[in-house]
Amino acid sequence: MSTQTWDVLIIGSGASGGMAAYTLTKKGINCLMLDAGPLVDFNRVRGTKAVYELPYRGFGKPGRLPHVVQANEFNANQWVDEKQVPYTHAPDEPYNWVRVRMIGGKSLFWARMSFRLSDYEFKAKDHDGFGENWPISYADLAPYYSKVEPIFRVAGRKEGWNQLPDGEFLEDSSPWSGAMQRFIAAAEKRSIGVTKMRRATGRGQFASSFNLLLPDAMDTGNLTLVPDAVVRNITTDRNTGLANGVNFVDRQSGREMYANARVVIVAASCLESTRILLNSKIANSSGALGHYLHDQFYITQGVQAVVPEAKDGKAPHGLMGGGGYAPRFVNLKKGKQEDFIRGYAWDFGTGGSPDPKYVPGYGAEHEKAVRSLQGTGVSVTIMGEVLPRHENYVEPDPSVTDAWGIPVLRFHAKYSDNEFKMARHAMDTFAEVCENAGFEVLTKHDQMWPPGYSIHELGTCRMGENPKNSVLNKWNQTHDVKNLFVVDGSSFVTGGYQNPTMTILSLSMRASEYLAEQMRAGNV
Amino acid sequence: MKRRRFVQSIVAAPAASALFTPLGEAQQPSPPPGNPGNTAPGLPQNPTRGNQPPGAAAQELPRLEPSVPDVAADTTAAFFTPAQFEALRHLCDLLVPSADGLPGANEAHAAEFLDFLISESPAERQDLYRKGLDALDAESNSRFGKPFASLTSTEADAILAPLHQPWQYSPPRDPLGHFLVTAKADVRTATVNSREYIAKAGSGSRRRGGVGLYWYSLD
Repeated sequence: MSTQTWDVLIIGSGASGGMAAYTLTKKGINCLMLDAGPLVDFNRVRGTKAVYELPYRGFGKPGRLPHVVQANEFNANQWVDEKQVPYTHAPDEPYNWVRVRMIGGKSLFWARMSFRLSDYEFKAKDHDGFGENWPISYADLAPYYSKVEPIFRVAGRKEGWNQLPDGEFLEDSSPWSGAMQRFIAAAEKRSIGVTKMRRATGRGQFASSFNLLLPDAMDTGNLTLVPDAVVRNITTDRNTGLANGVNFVDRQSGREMYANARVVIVAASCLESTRILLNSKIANSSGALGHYLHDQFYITQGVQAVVPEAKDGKAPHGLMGGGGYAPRFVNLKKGKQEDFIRGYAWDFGTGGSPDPKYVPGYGAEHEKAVRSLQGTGVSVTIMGEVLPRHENYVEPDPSVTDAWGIPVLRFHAKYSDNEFKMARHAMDTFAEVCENAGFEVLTKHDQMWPPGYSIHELGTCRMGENPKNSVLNKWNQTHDVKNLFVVDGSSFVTGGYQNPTMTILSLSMRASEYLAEQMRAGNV
Repeated sequence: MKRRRFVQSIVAAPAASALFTPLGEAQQPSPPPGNPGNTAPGLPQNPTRGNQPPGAAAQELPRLEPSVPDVAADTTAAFFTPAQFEALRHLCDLLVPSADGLPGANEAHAAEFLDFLISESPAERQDLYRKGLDALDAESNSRFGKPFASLTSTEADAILAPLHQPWQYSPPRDPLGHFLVTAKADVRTATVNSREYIAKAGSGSRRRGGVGLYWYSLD
């Protein structure tokens, strides 16, 4: 039996938890890391199969993962089972909560898009009056972005744009295809900039906490990693009100366990962290816990165009191929220049083949038409900023629990007019640029996936200057309980249009460095 | 070196499990330590004979080559009524006929497969298919005095008019239109993902209809 009191107990082994462990163990701090999922041997749990060997011939078992659009019959087993860990929402307020429970978490599977947030996000309220500012500015986080990007080996191209600050990149000086050059020229006429995708190249198969953070933490000898540990709640000392440990259940045996800790870091991923705090009834004197849920709205194939010169296999060499990223170009002057505030990005590519559903008709003629469009495609995923609003929130469900009897989350989330207007603008503008570039627009739509689809859930445990309307201070430390830190995406005040992972990693590193100093000074 | 030590310090699974290679599973050799390799995520590594995981040592196991059930047998279609199934078969043939030496939907047994798939699908999908197939017959009897399965392709084209409409994000409001748009995609997928089609078309792209990296269930 262990009566050991750990210096720091970290809940979660993903990007934010991994970075906390990486930072703290290197400073000689003894850490226990708990994760709800198993340590997976990727060579054993994966194998090649032909699609016709799968029971449902690639369609996937109907109803297996109703909220995970990204699931397919090949990868279905990598996602959290919705029956084991359910969640609830009203039928007209869908939420797609996409989860992974294994060592490394979602950082095993992320799309690796790596961006810095800017003061358009950190000081969004100063810019357009909506919501709150972060209690930090870009200058506070810049040194941490610069340390994180080399660990993840982020490739990109420097542009010098304020709304998408440059990073420490492996320089991407690859050329543009002909189609991309045409698009870029047409975009430039409207002052829309296009850059190379910024992507964490990682090492080998992964750009994950699993291969880039945890091994180094382990090598210090200061990390003990316990997989299959499903945390129920955080306990506090009756007298001091400080956090003192965690109740968890061993997933394999069902044994109820308790670990003592001097400091607790919650890094279970945005909504799981908030869920733990809500179920622990802790750190919520502000009432803000669970509120200001937001992410980015996604519209996939918002525009599907083709390059006419490439039809019937006639594309000259170098015409098609490659893609780009166009960050926010609207509302960059102070205030509001469109009928919506904030902005969106285009993540687009060329050289794909339009989905046959976009081609009218059927039968042999249809097949010919589809074939003539092979490799001619230009299509875009629109990623738009969602306003963080108090009325979008999660709370413990009063009557539903998961496989271990832990109350699940009940979601309340709806898009606002700002998102709908932004979506329309993003679709129309991309279609116009395509037409100006001499492409043929086959289809377009501005229908967003439900909230959560982006897998960038943010907020619900936001940081702020004012303890009356925020849960955390600017060091990711809870206002109420000074030895309790929350270091994942739940801490965001507003997420912008950018993918959040680099920011999550940077916040976690910064918070962990602060914590280490506070522990050394005996304040925590 | 560092990577291997990391894995060994926490794994509880016995190394002996590496001896058991389930039938039909491609062998996955462990990458040597310190060699990150250049395998892109999601792509399987080529199995090589000599590269056995530790513990397997000199034990050569036989490599049997299993077939899939569809090689040996037909699916018993039990969900749709005989009339609905005949309509579905004919629809499949019209939507995805065989062409350019590639099997069409019927050679790929798409109708039988869809009967199975829909039988396992939520009620809403089942309704869509059943009502759609009934509507095909109702239209056909009304216009031509015979069931849909008996129509020539010209006659059928009149009833399949919704498929000539341009694509819209929301499916057509009328049940027949909604069913046809859904069936157009489903029949195509059932065809191009079939053993018959893939055998003729070659491996194709990894993403569409070919070989993929499958996740077994986690413990």
